[in-house]
Amino acid sequence: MLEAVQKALELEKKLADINRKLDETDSALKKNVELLAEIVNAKATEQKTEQAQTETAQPLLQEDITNVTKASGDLGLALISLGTYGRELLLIKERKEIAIIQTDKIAQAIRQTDESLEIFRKDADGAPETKAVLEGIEKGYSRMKLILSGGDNSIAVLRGRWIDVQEELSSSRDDLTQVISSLNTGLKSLKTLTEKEYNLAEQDAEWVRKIAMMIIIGVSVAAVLLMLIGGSVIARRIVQPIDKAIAFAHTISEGDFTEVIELTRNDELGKLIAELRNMAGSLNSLVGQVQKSGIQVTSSSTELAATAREQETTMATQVESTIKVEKSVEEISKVTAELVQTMQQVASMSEDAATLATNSKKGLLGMEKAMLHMEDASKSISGRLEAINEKTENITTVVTTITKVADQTNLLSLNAAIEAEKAGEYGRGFTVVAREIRRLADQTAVATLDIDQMVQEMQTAVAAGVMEMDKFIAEVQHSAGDVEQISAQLTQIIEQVQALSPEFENVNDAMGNQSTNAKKITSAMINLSEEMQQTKETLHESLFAIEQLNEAARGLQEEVSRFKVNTSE
Amino acid sequence: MLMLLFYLGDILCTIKCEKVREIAPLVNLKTVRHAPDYFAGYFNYRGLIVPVIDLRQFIYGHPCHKRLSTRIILANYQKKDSLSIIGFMAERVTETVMKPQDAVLTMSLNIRKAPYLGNLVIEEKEMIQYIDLQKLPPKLDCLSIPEDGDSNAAEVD
Amino acid sequence: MKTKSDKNRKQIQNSDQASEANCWKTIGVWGQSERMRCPALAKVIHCRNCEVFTQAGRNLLERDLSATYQNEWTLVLSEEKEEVLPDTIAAVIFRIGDEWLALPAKLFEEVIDPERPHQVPHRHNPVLMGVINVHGEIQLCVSLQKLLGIEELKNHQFQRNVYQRMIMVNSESGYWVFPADEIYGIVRIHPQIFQNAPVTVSKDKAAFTKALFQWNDKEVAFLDDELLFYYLNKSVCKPERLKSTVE
Repeated sequence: MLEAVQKALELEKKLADINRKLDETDSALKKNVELLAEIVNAKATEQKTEQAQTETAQPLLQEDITNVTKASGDLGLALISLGTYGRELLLIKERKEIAIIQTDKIAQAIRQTDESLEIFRKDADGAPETKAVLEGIEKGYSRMKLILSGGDNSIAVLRGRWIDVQEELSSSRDDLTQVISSLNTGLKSLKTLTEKEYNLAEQDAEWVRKIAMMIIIGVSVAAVLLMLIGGSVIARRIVQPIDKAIAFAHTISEGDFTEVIELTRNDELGKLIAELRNMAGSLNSLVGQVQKSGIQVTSSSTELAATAREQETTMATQVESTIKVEKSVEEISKVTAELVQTMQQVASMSEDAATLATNSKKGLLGMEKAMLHMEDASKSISGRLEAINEKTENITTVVTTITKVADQTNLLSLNAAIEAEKAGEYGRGFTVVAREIRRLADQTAVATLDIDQMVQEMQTAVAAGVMEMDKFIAEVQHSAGDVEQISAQLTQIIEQVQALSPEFENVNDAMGNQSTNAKKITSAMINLSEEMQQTKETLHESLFAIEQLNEAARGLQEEVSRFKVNTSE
Repeated sequence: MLMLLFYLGDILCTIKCEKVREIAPLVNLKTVRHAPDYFAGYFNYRGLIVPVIDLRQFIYGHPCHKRLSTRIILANYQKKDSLSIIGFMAERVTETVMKPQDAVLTMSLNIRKAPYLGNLVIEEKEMIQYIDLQKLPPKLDCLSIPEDGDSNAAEVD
Repeated sequence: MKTKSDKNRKQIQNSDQASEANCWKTIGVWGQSERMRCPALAKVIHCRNCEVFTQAGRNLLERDLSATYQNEWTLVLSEEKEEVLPDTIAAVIFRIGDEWLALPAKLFEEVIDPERPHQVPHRHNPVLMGVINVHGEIQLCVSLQKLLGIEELKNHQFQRNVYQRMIMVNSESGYWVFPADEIYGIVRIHPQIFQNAPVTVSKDKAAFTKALFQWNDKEVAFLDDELLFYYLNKSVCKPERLKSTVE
């Protein structure tokens, strides 16, 4: 077998060499053929131009040219086919095909090439370049021919040999397989043989015991033991490992990678088992990873799905809440607007109240002024009455004086009368004067009495007036006090209302702001709601995708779970 | 004949004016303790100390009201070469009337205790009590003014 | 008992008077009503002549005597009466315009209320004002102001109780009536206080002034009555007629 292999390797080398040579020759040939074709083409073109110039073309020459051109094409083609056939030969594995290619195709190509070369040789008299090219071609062609069919080192030969070696190898392999199977069979037969022998030994022992009466029990036992050890050793060394390997392979084929196979031998079986173990380990780790990833993916996708669902729910709730909030905000906005209106009304009403109160206060101030004026007037009247009273007092003193005068006048008249009486006749006139004086005194007295009476009446009237005035003043003062109090109260009201007005404005402003803000919030909420709806939809979509993913992951896991994996690794 | 009218309470009385020196208003009088109640007091009449008799108290036992018209009638009493003045306080001394000399009716009644009250004067059918000033002083116990020219009263006294 | 009855009577009398009180102002001359007339008016003509009126006046004196008044009188009466100085002349002081003048009291016949004199036709003498009726007799009224050349007062701002009077004097040649702006009264003057230097008086006045004397911070011109009457006679009328009437 080793020889065959060495041969094969040698051949392989040779083949590679030939292949290289073939490539080289092929490329050189190709170059030369191309050059030739160019030359031919150039000549053909030249001749065509000449023909066109002279117009009196030589039909023969033209024919030649055509032949040459054709020949060059044929040559190129044949050479290329040769290269191709060479390569084909290298790839062929059947001997028959080599023969076919060798005999039919290569021969045909060679013949064709020879024909084309012949044509060229005929024409090759003229141009030296063409001659050189042709020579190159011929050289290459001869090498190619050599490579392809000539000698020991030709491709066909080599390939034929390689095929032979291969066949040899294949047959030796089959032999090996046969040997192994025969070995197996041998082992099996050995096993059976051993079992038979074991049974025989047992029977022997039984028989010896029975016959030799236990004397040679030890020997038999030893023999049996020996036999047992030998059998077990054999069984352990060959059968068990193989069984194990088979079982192991079976378990692995079933997808269970938890099984471990013990490494015990250093022979081919051991290697096999080690390979198996390695394979199982790789598979185990791979499937374990896949399982882990599957579990992870599943759990993650489940989690994701759950989260997504949760989020969806939350989103739904949020959307609902948002709608609620929106409604509430709208309500607030509405209420605020109403409130603003109400506040404005209240503000205007309070303003009206303030105006009214101010007017009332003005009126009251007027009244107060009037009252004060009245009081002053009353006081002045009272004062005047007092003055009158004083005057009447004066009058009374005057009356007293007049009374005195009347008294004295009367007295004077009396004395005058007495004096006149004393004067006798001379005093007559004077008596009359005295009487007149007395009458005057009487008149004075009466006038005085009148005055007195009047004064008394006046005093009574004045006293009554003073009393009335005092009463009136008291009333006016009381009223003035009332008015003052009312005025003060009004002032308080006005102040309060005036203090309220800016408050109203503030509240109004705040409410206006609130309203605006509420409106803004409403619009924002609407936008948010829309966005949420969109998000919800998106979420729903993503949830769907996640569920799909989840399902896929579950499928994967199911698939993977068929493999039992040793998780301890 | 000029006659002075006055009241003593409600009784209208009259005297002849021939011995009346002057009618003075009521002035402050200097009273004297233990003097009779009709003695109203003294007063300075132009340098002369003049006793004043409350005539109403003297005759009717009731003092004069102190009024403007209550005045002092100053009467002259001439005794030989000495002149004495007595003041008589009376009420409502405000009027004089001219009467003929025979207007004073001499009554037959002679009151020993009060000889000065015996006569009357008729004025418009009204009888007025006439008081004779000349017969009055002797009846004034406290005053030692003799009745001029008439010793009868003194004798009676 | 007597006292009580006196009092009762007095009260009744007072109440009677009270009922008649002010009758002069109701049914008397000062009454407002024309229909209601006091029957007594037919007899007494004027209320001041009526006994009721007089009695009412007298009732004023029935008032209580004030101590002050009594004290005043006590003082007045305690003073000794002024004795009339020997060799004194009683003179009446009166005022015409701004000039205080005096004439012997013995010449004065009567002082009457001012009266507008009746102008005498065809006589245009500034001194003679006209004639005037005094107690039924026609008297000549002259202007001493014009005679003495005293300026008439434009503004009559004088004290109260100042009254214009007509003075009637009795001269040898008869009665003369002339207006005076004010009469002060009678004073007794001694010729010793006379001053013979009439410097400040006007020229005309100086001619009639016998002497000057001081009285209450005022300078009074004591007029020469003989000269005055002589001039009046000479300038105004026929002395014969007047004399004859006097005689």
